[in-house]
Amino acid sequence: MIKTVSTLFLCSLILLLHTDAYAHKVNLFCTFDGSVLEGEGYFSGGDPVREGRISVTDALTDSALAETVTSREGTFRIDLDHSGPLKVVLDAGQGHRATWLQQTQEGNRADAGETDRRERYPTAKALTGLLTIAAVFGILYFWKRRHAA
Amino acid sequence: MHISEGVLPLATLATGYAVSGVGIAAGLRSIRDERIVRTAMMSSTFFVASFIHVPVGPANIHLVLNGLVGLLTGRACFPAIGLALFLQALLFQFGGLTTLGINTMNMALPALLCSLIFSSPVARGRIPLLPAGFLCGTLSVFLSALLLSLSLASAGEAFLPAAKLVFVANIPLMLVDGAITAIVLQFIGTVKPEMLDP
Repeated sequence: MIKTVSTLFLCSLILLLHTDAYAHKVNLFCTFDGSVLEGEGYFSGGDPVREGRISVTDALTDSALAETVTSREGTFRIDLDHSGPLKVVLDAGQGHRATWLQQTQEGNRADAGETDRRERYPTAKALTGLLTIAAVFGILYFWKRRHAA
Repeated sequence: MHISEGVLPLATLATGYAVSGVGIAAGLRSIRDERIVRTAMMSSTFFVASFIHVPVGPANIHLVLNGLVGLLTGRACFPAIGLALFLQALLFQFGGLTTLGINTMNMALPALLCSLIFSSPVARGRIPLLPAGFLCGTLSVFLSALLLSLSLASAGEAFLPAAKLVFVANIPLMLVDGAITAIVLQFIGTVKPEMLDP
């Protein structure tokens, strides 16, 4: 029985490791010199965000200014004639997004991207669920044994 | 596959809780001591299966595997699936507590039916495991999708398009679930065939 429970636990862990249980942190780095917006998106492991959707909006009015997708290297470049502060959103798919907000109108200071990490399935919660299942059926086992005696 | 809160009428919710309550009580009574670990294992499998997303076209679907749960646990599929759904609602906000009864019914009733249909022929070797697993997995998701659509339709005419859409959207899942159930069943039949005994 202990062997079976250990196998169950290990199998569940392996399944969790192969799923979306771990969120991929997405980073976005941009520069804007008043006419050209350039940037790069990459995951926490350093892999580039390929063909991620880039949406550029006015940070004050939220009106759409431009859209593009990142290259295979995770980079993008947009010719943009805009004076107001910009908001750039990188959508890497499956809920992984990063947002970059231009802090100044001059805009040639590269601000670190604000990262929006969506941990949809935190591992701790999943493990809590598995342990609860084991505990409930463990209690059932002992309850049945006690009432059978 | 999970119905959210605030959609269904009280009568549908009550029906779900009534059917699931009876199913869980019968299931708990029927579990033999030596089957408790297996039931816990299948409950865990069902709980984890929802995290495995399969890309189908532009969308993602997640596994259900209720046919496999039904086949390996029999009547105990009700408590196995009910507990997993309760934890999914509590920890991940999949579905909700008011819809827990109807969600349990929608997924466990087809699992039980598949168990009644396939359990004995599979254990006696009357059907090869691969086709049996595929049919079991496909049929269970088909019936779950049907019950899900009927549940949504009970909310009124406004939900009829959603009910139809949900059913159609689950057709790829039926095939994927069937294929995975078939592979798992074949694997179990090879390494631990006694698990297939009803």
